[in-house]
Amino acid sequence: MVVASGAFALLIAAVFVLLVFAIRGQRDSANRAIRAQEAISAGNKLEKLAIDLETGVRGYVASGAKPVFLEPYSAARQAYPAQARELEALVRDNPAASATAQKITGSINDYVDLYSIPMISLANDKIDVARSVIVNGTGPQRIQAIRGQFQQLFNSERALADKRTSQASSRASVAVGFGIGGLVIGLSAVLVLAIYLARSVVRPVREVAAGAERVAHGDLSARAPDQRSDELGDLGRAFNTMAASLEHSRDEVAARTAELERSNAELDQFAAVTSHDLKEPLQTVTVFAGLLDRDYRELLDDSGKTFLDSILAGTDRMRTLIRDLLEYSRVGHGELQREPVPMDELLDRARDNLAGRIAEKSATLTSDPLPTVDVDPKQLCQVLQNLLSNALKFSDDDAPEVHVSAALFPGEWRFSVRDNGIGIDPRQAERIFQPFARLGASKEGTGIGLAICQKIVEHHGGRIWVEGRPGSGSVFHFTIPDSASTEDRRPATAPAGVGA
Amino acid sequence: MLVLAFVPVACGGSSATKTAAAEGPGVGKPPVTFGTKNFPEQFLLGELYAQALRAKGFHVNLKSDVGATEIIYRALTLGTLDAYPEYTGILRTVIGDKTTRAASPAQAYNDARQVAGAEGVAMLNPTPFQDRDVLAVTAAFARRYHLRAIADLAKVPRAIRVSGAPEFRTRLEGYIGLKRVYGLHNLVFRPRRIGTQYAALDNGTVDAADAFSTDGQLTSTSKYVVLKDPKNMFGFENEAPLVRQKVLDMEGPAFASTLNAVSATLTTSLMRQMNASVVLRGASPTSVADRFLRDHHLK
Repeated sequence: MVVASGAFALLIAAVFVLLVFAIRGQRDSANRAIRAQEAISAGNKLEKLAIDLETGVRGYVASGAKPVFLEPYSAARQAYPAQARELEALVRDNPAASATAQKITGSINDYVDLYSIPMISLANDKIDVARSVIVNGTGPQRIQAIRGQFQQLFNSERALADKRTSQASSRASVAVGFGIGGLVIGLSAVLVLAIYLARSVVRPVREVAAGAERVAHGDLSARAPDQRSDELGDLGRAFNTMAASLEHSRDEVAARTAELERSNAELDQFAAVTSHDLKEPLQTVTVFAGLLDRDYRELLDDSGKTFLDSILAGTDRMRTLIRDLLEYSRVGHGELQREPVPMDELLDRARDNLAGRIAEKSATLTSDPLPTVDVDPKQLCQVLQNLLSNALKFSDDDAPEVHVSAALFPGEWRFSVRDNGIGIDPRQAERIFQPFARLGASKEGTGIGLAICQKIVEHHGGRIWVEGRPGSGSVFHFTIPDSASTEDRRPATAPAGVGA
Repeated sequence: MLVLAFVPVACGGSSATKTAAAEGPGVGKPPVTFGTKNFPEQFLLGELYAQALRAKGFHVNLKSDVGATEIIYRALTLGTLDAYPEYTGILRTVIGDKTTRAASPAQAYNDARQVAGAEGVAMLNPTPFQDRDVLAVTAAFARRYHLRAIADLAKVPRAIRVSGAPEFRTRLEGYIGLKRVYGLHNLVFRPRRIGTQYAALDNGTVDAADAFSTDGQLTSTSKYVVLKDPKNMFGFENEAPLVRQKVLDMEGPAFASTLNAVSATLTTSLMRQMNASVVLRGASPTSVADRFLRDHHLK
C-alpha cells in the first residue's frame, strides 16, 4: 500500500513536471513569437527608413536640391542606426536572421555612405549631373535589394517563430496526452486503491463491527477474521480474544449458576425430604414422651420430671424447627401466584394472625395508606407477618409501637416497618437474614423468619435490608417492583443515603 | 557611358571579411575601403587589387558596385571611400570637364592625374589595357567589305545600321564623331541597350555596334572584328587606381607598389579573357582574380 501510494505520488509528480515544462515551452514559444513579431515590426520600421532614405535623396535631386525636400532623408538617416540596433538585438537568438540583420545594416550603411552622401553632394553643386546620374542610377535597385534582405529576415523570423510554436504545441500535445494518461492511470489507481482499501480495510473493519454488534446482542460466538499480519489482523485478534474471554466467562457463569441452582435445588429437596423424614421419629418421640408425661409423671422424682420436661420442650422445639425448615424450603419453589393486591388488606390479615401477641404486648400498630402491588398475596402476607412478629419480639415490654409505611421510588415501592425496640447492631445487619441466625437475647422463634422474608422478597424481584442502632429501634425496608412502571424484575440499586 | 545593368550578386562587399595575411607590409595598417564602379570589369578589378593588397597584409573592405563615376568619385573626395579603379579619359572629361580630346594615352593620364591631384586624390600607374569605346562588326561583314578601320565603312555600298546606347547618338565620342571625324554618311542609328549589341550583330539586326574594348566577346577574332580608330576618336581610357592621398600616406609605399604591380600585368587581351570568364561563362570575379594573381605571382 505504501509502494502504491509512492508510485501514485510519483506519477502525479511526473505529470505535473511535464505540464510545467509544456506550459513553459508554450510561454517561451509565445514569447518567441511575440519577439518575432517585434523583430518584424522593427524590421518594417527600418525598411521604411531605408525607403525614406532613397525617396528623400530622389526627391531632393528631383526638386533641384531644395533643402526642404531633404528632410525625410535627414530624419531617416538620423533614426536608422538606433532602429538597426533594435532589430539586431531582437533577432540575436536567431543566427540566420542575425546575420541577415547585420547584412541589412551594412547595406544601409553602404547606401548612405557610398550612394546617398555622394549623390546629395553632387546635387548641391552639379544638380544637372546629379539628375542625369540618378535617372540611370541604381538607388531603387539598391533599396530593392535591401528590401529583399528584409524579406529574407522576416521569413527567417516567421519560420523560427512557427517552428517554436509548432514545437511548443506538439510538446503541449504530448504533455496533455501525458496529463490525460496520467489522470486515467491516476483514477484507475485510485479505483484500485479504493477497491483494495474496501477489501483489505473496510471489509475487515466491518466484520469486526458486525462481530461487536453480535456480541452486543449476546452472541458471544461471533468472531472476526484474524489471518492478516497487519494492524487489522491485530484488531481482529484482539476482538476475538475479547469475545472468547467473554464467552468463556459467560459459559463459566452459566455453568456455575447451573451448578448453584442444582445444589440449591438439591439442598431444598434435602431439606424437604429431611424434614419429612425427621417428622416420623420426632412424632414417635413426641407421642411416647407425651404418654410418659401423662401416665408415669408421678412415678418420677424431681430430676426425672425435669428431664421429661426437657425432652418435651426439645421435641416441641424440634417440631417448630422442622416446620420452619419445611416452610423455608417451600418458599421460592414453583410459580408465584401474582395478583394485584392492596397491601392494606395483607397488613390487616397479618395483624389478625398476630392479634393475640399484639394484645399480649399491648403493642400499637399503625400504618400509612399502602398501595396495591402485583404480588403473591400469601407470601407477602407472610413477609409482613414475620416483620411484625419480629418487631414485637425485639421490643421493650412496655407499649411497643410499630409503624408500616410505603414510598414510591423509581420503578419500585419501598415498604418500611419501623419499631421502637432494642435496635440492631449494624454489624449484624447482614447476618440476621441468614437462616437460623438467632441473635443472642432471642427468647422465641427459630431464627428463620427473616431468611424467609428475604427469600420471598428476592423471589419477587425486590430487596430487603435493615437500618437501625442499638437502643433506638430498627427499620426493615423491602422493595417490590412497581408493576405499573416497569416489567423489569432486576433488583434496583439501593437508594443513596440508606445504611447505618 | 560606362553604366551597366546593376548586378545584385556583386553588391555589398562580399569579400570584405576575407582574412588578411598574417604577415606583410600591410599588417597593422588602418583598414581601407576599396570601391568599384558598377559593371563586371570593375568588379573584377576590385577583386584583383583587393586580393593583392590582402596578400600583403593590408586590411581591405571591398565595396563593389558603388556607382557611376560621378557618384564614386564624389564618395572618394568626400572620404566615405578610400580608393577605386578609374579610367583616364572618363576622369579627364567627366570630372575634369575637358572638352578636347587627348593627343595620347600619356596626355590623357597626365590630365586625369592633375584633375585628381587637385582634390587630394592620387592616381597610380595606368594599366597597359584600355577600356574604351570601339566599333565592332562581324568577321563575315568585315571580310565581305574588306573592312579594317572605321573609315573603311564608307566603302560599304548601302546604309549601315549602327547600334549604341541612347546617349551614343549625341556624343562626339560616338555617332556624331563617326560622321564628323570619319565623314561617314551612310549610317543609321539603332539605339540598343548595352549588352545586347552582340546578339544584334549575330542575327544581322545591326551591321556595326558600339562596344567596349575589353569585352569578353571580342576575344573571338573569328566572330568579331574591332575597326581601328587611327584618329583616336574614342579617346584613351587606360585604367589606374585612384587613392586618397591621405590614405596612401597612412598605408605606406607598399600599398601603391602592390597596386602598380597588378596594374602592370593587365593587358587588353588578358582583360578580355577575364571578362569573358565572368560575363560569358559565369565565373565569379573573386575566383577569376584569385587564379590570375596566383598565375602572375602577385598573391
